[in-house]
Amino acid sequence: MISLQNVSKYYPAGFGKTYVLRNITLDINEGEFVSIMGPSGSGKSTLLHILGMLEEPSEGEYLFFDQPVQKLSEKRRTELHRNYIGFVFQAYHLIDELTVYENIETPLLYKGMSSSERKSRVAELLDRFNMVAKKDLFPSQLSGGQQQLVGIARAVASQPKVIFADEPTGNLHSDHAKEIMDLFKKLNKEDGVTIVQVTHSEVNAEYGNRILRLKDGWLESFQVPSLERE
Amino acid sequence: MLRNYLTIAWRNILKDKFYSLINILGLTIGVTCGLLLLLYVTDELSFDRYHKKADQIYRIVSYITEPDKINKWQSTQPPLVTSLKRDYPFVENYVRFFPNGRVAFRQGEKRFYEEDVYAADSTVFDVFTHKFIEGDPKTALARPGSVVLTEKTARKFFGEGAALGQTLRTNDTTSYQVTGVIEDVPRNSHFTFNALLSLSPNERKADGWGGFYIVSYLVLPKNFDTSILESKFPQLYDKNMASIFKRMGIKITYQLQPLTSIHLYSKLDGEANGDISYVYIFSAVAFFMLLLASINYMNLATARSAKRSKEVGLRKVMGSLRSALMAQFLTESVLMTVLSLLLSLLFVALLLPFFNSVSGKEIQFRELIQPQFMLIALSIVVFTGFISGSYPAFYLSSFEPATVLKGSFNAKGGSFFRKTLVVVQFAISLIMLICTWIVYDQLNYMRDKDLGYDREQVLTIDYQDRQPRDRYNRLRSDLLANPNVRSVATASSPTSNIGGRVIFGVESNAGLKEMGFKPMGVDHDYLQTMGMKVVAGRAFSDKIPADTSNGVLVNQAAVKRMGWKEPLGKKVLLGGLPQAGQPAPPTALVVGVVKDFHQQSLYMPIEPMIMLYRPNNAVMHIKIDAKNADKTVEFIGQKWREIYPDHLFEYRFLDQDFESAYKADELRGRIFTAFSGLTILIACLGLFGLATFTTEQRVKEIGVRKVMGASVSSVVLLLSKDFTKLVLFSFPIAIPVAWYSMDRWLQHFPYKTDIGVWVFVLACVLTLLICWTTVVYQSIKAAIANPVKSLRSE
Ligand SMILES: Nc1ncnc2c1ncn2[C@@H]1O[C@H](COP(=O)(O)OP(=O)(O)OP(=O)(O)O)[C@@H](O)[C@H]1O
Ligand SMILES: [Mg+2]
Repeated sequence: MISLQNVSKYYPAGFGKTYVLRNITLDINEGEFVSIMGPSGSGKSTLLHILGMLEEPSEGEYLFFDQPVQKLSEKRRTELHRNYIGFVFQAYHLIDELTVYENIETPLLYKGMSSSERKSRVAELLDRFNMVAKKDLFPSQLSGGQQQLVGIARAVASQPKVIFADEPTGNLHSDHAKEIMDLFKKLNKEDGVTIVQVTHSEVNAEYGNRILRLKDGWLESFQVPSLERE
Repeated sequence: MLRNYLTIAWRNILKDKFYSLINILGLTIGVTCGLLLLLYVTDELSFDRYHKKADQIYRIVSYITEPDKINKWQSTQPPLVTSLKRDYPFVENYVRFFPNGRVAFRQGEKRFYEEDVYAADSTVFDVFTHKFIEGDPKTALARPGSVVLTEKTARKFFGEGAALGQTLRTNDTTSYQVTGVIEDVPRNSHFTFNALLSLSPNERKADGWGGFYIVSYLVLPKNFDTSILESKFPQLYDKNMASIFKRMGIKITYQLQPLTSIHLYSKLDGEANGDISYVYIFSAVAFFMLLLASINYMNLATARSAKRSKEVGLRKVMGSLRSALMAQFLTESVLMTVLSLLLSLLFVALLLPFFNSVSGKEIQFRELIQPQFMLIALSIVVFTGFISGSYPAFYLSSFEPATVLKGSFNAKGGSFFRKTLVVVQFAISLIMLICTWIVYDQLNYMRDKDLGYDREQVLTIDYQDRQPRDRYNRLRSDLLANPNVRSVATASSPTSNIGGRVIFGVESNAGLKEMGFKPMGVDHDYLQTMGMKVVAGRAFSDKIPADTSNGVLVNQAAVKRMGWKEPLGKKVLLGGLPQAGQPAPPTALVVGVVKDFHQQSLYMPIEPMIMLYRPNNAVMHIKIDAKNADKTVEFIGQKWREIYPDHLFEYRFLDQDFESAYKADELRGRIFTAFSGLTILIACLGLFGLATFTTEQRVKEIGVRKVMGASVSSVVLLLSKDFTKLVLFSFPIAIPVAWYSMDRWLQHFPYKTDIGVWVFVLACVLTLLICWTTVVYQSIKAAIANPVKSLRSE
């Protein structure tokens, strides 16, 4: 489903360039739960952005469902964002001017769903995430953990094939973090959503079936899954 | 999707109330002014269009070329249009208006002077469309001795009762039967009257080609090529006029003016019309006000971009196209402008009476809510919304989600554009300020200019008829018995408006020649009453009555035009050169030269003039003392009624008469002032918003500086510096533009003020002061705030 071939990313610096990612070759299959780890500044977010098509690689090739991403038009890429990809952020990044309900509804609007379909889909999500009572509140009226729940609900609303999560629990206490990670696990297991997360926590990384370690832009090790946990 | 946009837009408006207030206020001022100016312009463009045949009616006007001068007159000779109708079948109809001036009508005990009374051909209501309240337009003026009154005039005499069939008598034993009452002539007409008489027998017969005194209109076929008719004018001259005018070297031709272009385009001698250039100027002002309001919006919206950047990034991540985001931001700006349109309509309704009094118009609110006007207004407003929203939309939607969401976003971008816009705003404001200033300078200059005579405290009374003038001497001596009456004199026209032109035979350096001069009959008291100076020779005197036929006075302009080295004793033939077979006209000698004085408003240059000694003229001039002026006027009225029990006492003050000539310019000056004030206000609003925003952004920097020991004044200076720079940048842009356009505007005036450097300096200083006042409040607030607060909030 995702395949990187010798992907590098660099930024111009002075007369030369600084590499952030070097020669990354990587395959992620449908249904996987992948954790990316590494020290700060090692290029984790950059890699996730490239995977999520928010940034373009400087070199190398990226195939998403066998389509070369570099050749896609803006329109086509936007379509992929609408239908295949969901994002979850460390800072939640909800739209402050919209209520919980409306935040979850927004991606469905872009997808062009009819109003009745939207209603039932949002209602279903609110129910599933236990947010029904909070649906008319604004993000500023929620706790961090609740905001992240909304963030995830929003990410899964359009039923994406893959969710990219950049330190989704970075700002949360461990109780909340566990709740969120369990949720990811469930999504991965029950709905078959592919999940790629960036995390600093070994515990959270263990939720995945595979851990990628980045160091100075290099993909350092390739750890074979420790089979089933639990 | 639109609902989602509207929700977000609405919540954004509510969330940042200060920002929304400034934006809506700015837009509301802009849109209100825009609507008012649009009403003004629409009104100017609507002149004379209410006639059914408006596109077929032409006024025919005279171009009279003398050897050294071209006269453009509204009037023609009486037989002109009748002969055109007779000779050319394509002339569908015509109508002529014979001015009867001010007519005293009597109805039983009621007596009123009616201004603007004309006698007209019975075709008048075929040509022009006037709504009849009573009577039949087809026959109204068919019979001699008929009169059609306007509603206002009819009410004066007959109140609410029927006027039809009633009789009005004029002073000289003639009477008119009322055959119709029409609605008052709409104020958007270039030509207006209060009563129309049917032609008198003399007017009916009038066939002389020598006198230009009637106003003529033709009806021609639709889309007629007027050059076909204009090509016939040389023949007409040869056939009818050459015998009279050729030997004086005068050529005559005519011009056809489409009815609907008269008000804005016609510029004939002595005509006080609208002016198409003011339609352009006011449209431009309206455009600029909207532009300024849009700039405010753009500035504030982009300045606040950091606050919106996250939303942009998120929406893109969720699959929003850039175009969809642009649509969202445009929805916001259009919503904002539509809100201000609603507010503006309210303001326009409230301000309309005030605007009317400032502009001299009588625009009704219902003209505003006409569907057609509303459509224009709405489209302008939506357009303004689009312009305002376009740059922010373009700018905001360009944010890259990766950058924004990583948090490494800074709002530095767009700040050059913002600065440019502020410079543009202040340049426009400054241009308006300088222009207003110079317009007022010119108006004051005209009002204060030494006219060559003393116009203060002079009453003029126009004897309407010849016959009461017999008793002038008695009135004069009665009046002079009052010590507050300084002097009494008569002249053939009021000194504020000496019109006309007469051909005299004059002795030039190359023998006798015929030339046109402004004529004026004056008595021996006149020069002294008006405080006019004699620079050579002597004035008229009652001791030398022979001057009535032997002596004339000339002004300096006449001496200059004739090139006389020694003007005294030069011959003037009162009535042109002698003609074969006719008695020689009386010959007078120049006995004195009068210092040049202004004969009309300062729109007209001083013309060569010949003054004749006439002891008993139509217009009395009474100079009175400034103190007790009211009592003195009362006294004069009392004496007048004693001597002329049958005549109304109607007087004017010369200085007021004189100033009324500048009314149109003064009105336009006032509109201009109001709007330039508002332009500056809009610009300041924007600046205030921007200042608030930048100070907010720099709160932390200010805190750090203060902790390091910066004084309040140094912080204020730091914050004001940037804006000062922007305002300074606007000076070199505004000054040349303002100078150039005002220099061109002043070309219209033969007597004009110099554009002083100090106007520019003061206007610039004023602009700076206004800018500082706007910015300084925010800066001081930020500078005196406790730094710990702003630093801890991180
Ligand atoms: N626009 C840019 N220009 C230059 N360098 C950049 C740019 N964006 C990111 N970098 C650099 O790329 C490197 C990788 O950044 P990235 O955000 O991917 O790190 P990260 O692994 O996610 O770190 P963290 O764990 O702190 O989030 C950093 O050293 C950063 O300075
Ligand atoms: Mg990161």
